[in-house]
Amino acid sequence: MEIVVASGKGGTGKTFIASNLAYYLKANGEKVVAVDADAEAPDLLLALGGSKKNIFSNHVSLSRKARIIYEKCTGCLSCANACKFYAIDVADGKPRIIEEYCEGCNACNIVCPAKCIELYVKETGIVKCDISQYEIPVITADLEVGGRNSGDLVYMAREEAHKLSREMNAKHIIIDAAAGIGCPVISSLAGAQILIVVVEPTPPSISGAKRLLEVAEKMKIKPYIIINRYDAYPEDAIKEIMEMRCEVIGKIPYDKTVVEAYVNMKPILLYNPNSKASKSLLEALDYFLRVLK
Amino acid sequence: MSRVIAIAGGKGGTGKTFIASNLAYALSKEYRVLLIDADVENPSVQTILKLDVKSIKDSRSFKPLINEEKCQKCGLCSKNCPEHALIMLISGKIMYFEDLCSGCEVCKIVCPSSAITEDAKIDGVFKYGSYGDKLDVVIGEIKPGNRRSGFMTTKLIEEHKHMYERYDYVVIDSPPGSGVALLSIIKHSDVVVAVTEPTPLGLSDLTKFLMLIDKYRKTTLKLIMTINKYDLPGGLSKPLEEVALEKSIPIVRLPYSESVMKSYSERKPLVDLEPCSSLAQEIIKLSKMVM
Repeated sequence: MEIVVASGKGGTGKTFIASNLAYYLKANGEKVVAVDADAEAPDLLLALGGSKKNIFSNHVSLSRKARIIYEKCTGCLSCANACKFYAIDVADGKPRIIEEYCEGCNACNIVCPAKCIELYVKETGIVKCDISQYEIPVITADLEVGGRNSGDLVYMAREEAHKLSREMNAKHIIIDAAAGIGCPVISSLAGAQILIVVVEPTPPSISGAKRLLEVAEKMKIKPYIIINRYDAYPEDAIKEIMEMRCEVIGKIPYDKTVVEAYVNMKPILLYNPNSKASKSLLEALDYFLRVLK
Repeated sequence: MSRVIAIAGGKGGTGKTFIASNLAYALSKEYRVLLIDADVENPSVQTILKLDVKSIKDSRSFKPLINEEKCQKCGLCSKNCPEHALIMLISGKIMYFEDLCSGCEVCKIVCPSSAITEDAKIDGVFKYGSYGDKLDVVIGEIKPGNRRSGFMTTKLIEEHKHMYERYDYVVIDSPPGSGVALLSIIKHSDVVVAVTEPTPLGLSDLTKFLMLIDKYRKTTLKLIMTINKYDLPGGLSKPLEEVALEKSIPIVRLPYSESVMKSYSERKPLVDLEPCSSLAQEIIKLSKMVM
């Protein structure tokens, strides 16, 4: 079963929930594979103690890009007119391709009468597998800076996770999604069974959660809510979350131990199981796993 | 000449929108300021500033309209579609999947029988509003379910940069991350404020973001690191300070403050509500540094 942890807004505690859920399952004798699908800012491995051993690092190249062979270019600029993605600038009467904006659609090449444009493939990023300090396998999608196609990278990371979970006979795959509701998040949700929405009772987080729930409904994935730092904000915001018509599986209080656990690179359930946050988290996860059964 | 300031930093939830809104407001006391909310997946400036929204415009892109009478069932559109958004069935009928379509127009270009014409799909909206007399705001908001937020951010910037000359300062609230959306923002910026928080996660995401800056920075780009909640109980600022020292990046340290929630509930900038608080003072200090 694939469980996605996402949030709409960044910094609400996705990695916090995902890392501790993976650790909780592992500590209870279940086999689990974790996936970091936040390819522009991957942190899950850090939250699980860092890498004990790297199993593989695959460079993934599937970003098509166009380039101009200037010897043949007549400067007709048909290419610049055909590009819909702001990827062709004109300087001194010559077209210039902005590689990062290029989507490799081939429109420029098709319209070029001098046949002076060719496509090539560029590195998208890395998909790697590590065993974390606490013996949890983590597959990480890591996008090249300035890159596109993070959704493709997420699909590949999930495929690796499927392979590994079959080999290990693991029942659960935990996916730590990117912030927002865009391409990498949609690629995390597609075909997965369960979504945990991490929300704080603040206006930006609530608005992000609502937008995420809209996407979840379109993609027919079953959502649950965890409220993080529920007591750090005014009461009426909680009411708004309760009105979202989505089951709330737990409420985690503000607790400085959460930051301490991060600084010590340990899941809080290991770092201090007696902390306020750990106790609420244990209760929430225990309830959640019973609901799933 | 306007000065363009991007508020970014890699990690989500570090306070980018809070800083962007307050910085823009602080600057608008003396200057004409444009604030752009470029976090198109979850634009939040409006939850911080009670805006007067004056107009809303659809963000449209090409979508193919297939004239079945003209279609010769050659399949070239489907074969050339880079996103596999056009599929030819055995019957020769072309199926179109809007969610996959990037709007590149390749299908229209390759169709030998002019059976494909231009139609439009709506990817999201651009909202235009203001907060007071001297702070104008543009917001990009993508439709939930649309996969093309990176491009929508690029489009937001590229389509609105002609407005910059009317302002003294342009402040851009960026989405989290280090991908193409961020690149299109920093490409036209004079100052980047990299916002982070004192945890290993903040450090890791900032490091990746600085790789993006190093790869694409213009020599004139000014970089400022802002450690938000630098006094966070249990937090660790030292590794961030070391990065700043090593790269000679000036630092602004913003203290944790419970007044932030008050500013949320009143939808007014903290710089306005509590101008003498230490957090507001630090933001005013930041507003002098970006000049």
